[in-house]
Amino acid sequence: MTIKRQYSLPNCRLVLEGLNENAVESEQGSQRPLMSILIQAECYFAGEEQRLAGGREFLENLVKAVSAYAQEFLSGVYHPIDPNEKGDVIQFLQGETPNIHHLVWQQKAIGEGIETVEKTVRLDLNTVQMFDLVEAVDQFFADHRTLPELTLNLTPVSRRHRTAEVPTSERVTPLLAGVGSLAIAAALLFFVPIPEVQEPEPFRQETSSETEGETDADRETETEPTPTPPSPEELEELLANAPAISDPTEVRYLQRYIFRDLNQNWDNREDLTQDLTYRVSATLDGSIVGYEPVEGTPENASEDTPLPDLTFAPTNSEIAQPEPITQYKVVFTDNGILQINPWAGYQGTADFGPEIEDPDTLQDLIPEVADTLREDWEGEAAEQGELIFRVGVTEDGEIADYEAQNQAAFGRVEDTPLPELVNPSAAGMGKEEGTVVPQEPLGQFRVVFQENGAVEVSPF
Amino acid sequence: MSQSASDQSDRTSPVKTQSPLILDSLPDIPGVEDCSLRVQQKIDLILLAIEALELGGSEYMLATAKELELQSIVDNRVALWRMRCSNPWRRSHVRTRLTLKQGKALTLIASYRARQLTVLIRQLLVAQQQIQEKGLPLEQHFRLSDYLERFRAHFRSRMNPRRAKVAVYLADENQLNDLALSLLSQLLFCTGTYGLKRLWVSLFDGEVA
Repeated sequence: MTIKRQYSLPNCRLVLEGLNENAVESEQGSQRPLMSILIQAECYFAGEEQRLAGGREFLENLVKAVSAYAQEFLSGVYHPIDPNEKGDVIQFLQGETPNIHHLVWQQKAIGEGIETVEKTVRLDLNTVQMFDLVEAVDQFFADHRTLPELTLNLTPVSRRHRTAEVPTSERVTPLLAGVGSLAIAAALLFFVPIPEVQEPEPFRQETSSETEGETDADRETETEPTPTPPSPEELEELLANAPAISDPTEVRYLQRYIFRDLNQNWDNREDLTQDLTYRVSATLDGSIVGYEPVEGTPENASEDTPLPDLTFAPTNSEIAQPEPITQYKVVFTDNGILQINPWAGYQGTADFGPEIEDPDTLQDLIPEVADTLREDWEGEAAEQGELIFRVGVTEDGEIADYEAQNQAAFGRVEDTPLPELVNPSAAGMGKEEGTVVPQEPLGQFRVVFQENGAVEVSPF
Repeated sequence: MSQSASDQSDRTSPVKTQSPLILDSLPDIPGVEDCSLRVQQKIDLILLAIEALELGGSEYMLATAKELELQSIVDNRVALWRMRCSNPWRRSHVRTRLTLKQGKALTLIASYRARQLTVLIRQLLVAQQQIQEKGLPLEQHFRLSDYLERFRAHFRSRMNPRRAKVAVYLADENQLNDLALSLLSQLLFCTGTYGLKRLWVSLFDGEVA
């Protein structure tokens, strides 16, 4: 006999159907029968035709994502979830306004041993609906006669994930602020002095070529034009000419690139006495083209950050033809941690760009990647817990991209061989290539450096 | 009687068995010995939102403390007030750290009060949703505008305008309303089956290594 359990709230209903492994036990005693095997889990929202449904993996991923998002909602601190190896992906994202929550459900299908995304469903929940879902899940957690091994497990997240103390409503600044900031960026770009193009002069070619660069630079500063404030028409034109990068995949790749760039070049972390917050504009090739202190960050504090060194001054032709830009909020916290978030909030669902689809190639890559990593891995860093990464690999087995997936991995990436091995240009990514998004298809793998020193590679 | 007994134990040695049993319903956080400024600020703001929801809110909080047998920690109005003044935004900020026991006690009170107010909290949030969908001003809804007005008044009278973050809120009524609404929705999440535990653990997000 199947057992049915229902957790009903005004806006949400969670229905579980399952069996008891040991039917004899269930007939004894007067207690409700124990559901130990799940057949089907379904989740309905009032007034919404789309229902969510799936098996055990679906339910596990659902309750994990719901629970993490509830904590994120209460604290405003991002809760990463270790992605389950298998099954449907369920994600919650803060919407454009604080009372909208996006539920993203990627249904997976298994074909020839490799999981592929079959269908993506998006639902927008309001806060009360979101809470009812959390409560349905919590009632299920509290029910010890239904899949008792799934229980609520709450732990606070590390301070690494703390964004500066900004209410969620501010972090997810809507479009309006985006346009405003574009105007500021455009104005900033306008004030950057336009280097004069110097025709090579014969007498200078006769002098030592070594000093040529220097004299050029001197000349440029001498002949620097006095910037005049742009007229409203000019500003408008600039604004129109600098389109925003809107593809969520590009925004996320660029975010990871800038994070790595700043993180590797930030040396004097002990010197900060307060959080320094900047609005940073970047182009798709990974260049930072402007930054601006915000939220009470002093003007001269940027000396303590790698920003001045990494900012790239646009040339004449680039001002004439502005590249698309996107903006991030970058915080150098007083406890030495770097944080970066899209200025306009997380919008849309990012993927990993072109992917290798041939299952045979993917299968062949697994041992290859595992061998490469094992060769360079001492197995020491994972003693305090396994390190999980997503790793993007080209058809030739070159590691082009990686991203930490759990807190331990985040903190100890430098102890793994990944920073040494990564070669973004193998996939056409990097400053020289003009884009930080892969141009070659990548296979995405989940790499786990285990506590016992083993390295495990599986499809992501 | 039991009150004075546990008071003494607090002074001499923090024996766990002597402190209110209900505190054990909240887990200790590994590596955390007392509450940080952020935690103190958050608890006080949550309580401020509760006060804006019900007239005489602080009296109800004291009654709840008694009901939960927390008198050894929160025995009168002054004790409650002093603990809440650990919020660095307060005009009368006191530079003492809340102990974990005190933090737990305030969290318990907040969560129990929120649970009592579940119906009202839901009504207000549903109203907010409907009003915003129609593009109308929030003041259209009597109870909601009442809540916002009271929250703003409490915030103005108790928070220190010389603190930069407070000044930002005081300068812009909309931002203050957003803060009030964000706290209101957080209160909703405190009303559930595991709301108490969720609130408590969330206070330490970003506080641990």
